[in-house]
Amino acid sequence: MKKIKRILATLLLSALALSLAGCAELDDMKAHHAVWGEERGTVLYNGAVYRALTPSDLLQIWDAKDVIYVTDKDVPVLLSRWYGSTMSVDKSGILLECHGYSAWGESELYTSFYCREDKYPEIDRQLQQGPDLSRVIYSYWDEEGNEKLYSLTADQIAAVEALLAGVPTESGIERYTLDEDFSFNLERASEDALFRTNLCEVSVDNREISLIKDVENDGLVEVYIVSAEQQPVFQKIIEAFAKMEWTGYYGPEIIYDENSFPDDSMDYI
Amino acid sequence: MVKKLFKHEFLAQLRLWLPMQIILLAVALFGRIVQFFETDTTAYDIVFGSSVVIYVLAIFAAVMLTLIFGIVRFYKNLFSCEGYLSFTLPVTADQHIMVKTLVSGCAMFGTLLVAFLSFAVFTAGDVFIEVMKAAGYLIKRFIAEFGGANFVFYLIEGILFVSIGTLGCYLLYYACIALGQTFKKNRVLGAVGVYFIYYTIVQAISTVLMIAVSFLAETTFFEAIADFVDTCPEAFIHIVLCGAVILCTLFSALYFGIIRLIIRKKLNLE
Repeated sequence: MKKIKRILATLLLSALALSLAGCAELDDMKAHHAVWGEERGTVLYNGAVYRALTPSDLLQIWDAKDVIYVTDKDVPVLLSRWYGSTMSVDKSGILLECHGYSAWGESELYTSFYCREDKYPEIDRQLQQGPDLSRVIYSYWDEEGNEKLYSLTADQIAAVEALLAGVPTESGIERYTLDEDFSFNLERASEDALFRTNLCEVSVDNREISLIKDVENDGLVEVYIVSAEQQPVFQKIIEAFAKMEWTGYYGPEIIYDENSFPDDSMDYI
Repeated sequence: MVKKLFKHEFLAQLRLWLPMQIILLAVALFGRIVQFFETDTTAYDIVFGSSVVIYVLAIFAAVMLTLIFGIVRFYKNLFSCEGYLSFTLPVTADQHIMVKTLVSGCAMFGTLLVAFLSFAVFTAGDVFIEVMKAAGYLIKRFIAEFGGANFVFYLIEGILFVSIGTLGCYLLYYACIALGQTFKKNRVLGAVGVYFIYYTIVQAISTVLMIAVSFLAETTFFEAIADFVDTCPEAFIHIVLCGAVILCTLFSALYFGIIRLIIRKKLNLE
């Protein structure tokens, strides 16, 4: 009897010891698992509550640090990727962007945002009142995949706005007819760059600089050519753009060597 | 006497079965111990990956060896020189076949049980709990989709199908061995030949049926079946499972009849 007890105790202790080792893969899945709150109005993630924001085009997560899977409370973590909605988490961990609800056999497509509860009143107020989009920026990704922002100076912003306030040189043309050397987008942004909206595209074609603005979402654009007098201000913007440590960085000197530009601007991006 | 036959058959199976299962559990334990040293290094990835591969191979080997042990035991005990002794026992040919088939079936069931136990060892702790939770959740969803009563009957039909299918699988191999005994020479080779002839015929029939189905797919009969599947998927699954059980039973009975006939009428031990 004593022997049986010893064997049983050994087996139980071994089972306990075996269950102590963790599993990094499972821990990772748990770290990327969130659950819906009541009626999908809230999300519980990483010990914080995220509340649904009023839908807005000004919000978009550009620098997602992670992707998580949001499921109902009763869905086990191992099935979160099959039964969960995919959400992006922004770098600061304040916003979650949901691209729709999907699970086996059912799916709903929409985009909605959820904000961490402690920041919710502030961000919701800005959304209701309209955020202050006083900055003009362009963003790029460094070689590590982190988003970097470049803010235009007050002079540069004034020059861009003055040009856009004028009469477009061409309008109604289709975007693909332009064959620029390279281009990049300027955005209006709030101080923390949380709210952004597209302002225009800066296009450089054989040293001629132009700003391109979408008319509608139908591929038609308005083109504003930068005049010779305005060139120095815009060249500063382009020079700063070229100095960025983006993937495929060519260096500022190439900006002025027209023969070195690749034929397709996509080669840069 | 049948009880004694069962006992000795079980003991004979256990002699080979038990060490194999201990090895399987040891491999699972090794895989679990490896996870204690989890690090974010290539060396760990290689060792852990290898332990998973070895574990999967061990499960496959355990299942295959259980099958092979059952077949070899049947051959040696009834058709080799051991057969002279076996057939002096006061049991009928039917009882011999039934005992061998049932004990082999139990051994296979035991192997599957040990495989599950080894999985519990391999994933002991959080992972095993999460796997069980996931299985529970899937069952819950299945019940929500098809209803509790349907689930219970699917389970019964599934267990019947797997059980009869396993026994039928053993009976098929036994039948091939028995048919091989009708050869004058090279009886084992003959048994293998019989199995390949059987396999070729089954493949040929399957191919013909598949071609026939592809030709008949547009007919009203098949459209009616497709409509039935759409409207009553629950009933369709029952029909498929029950059909499979009946088919397995019929084939098992056929194999049993062949073995019985050869043992009773054509037995010619070497």
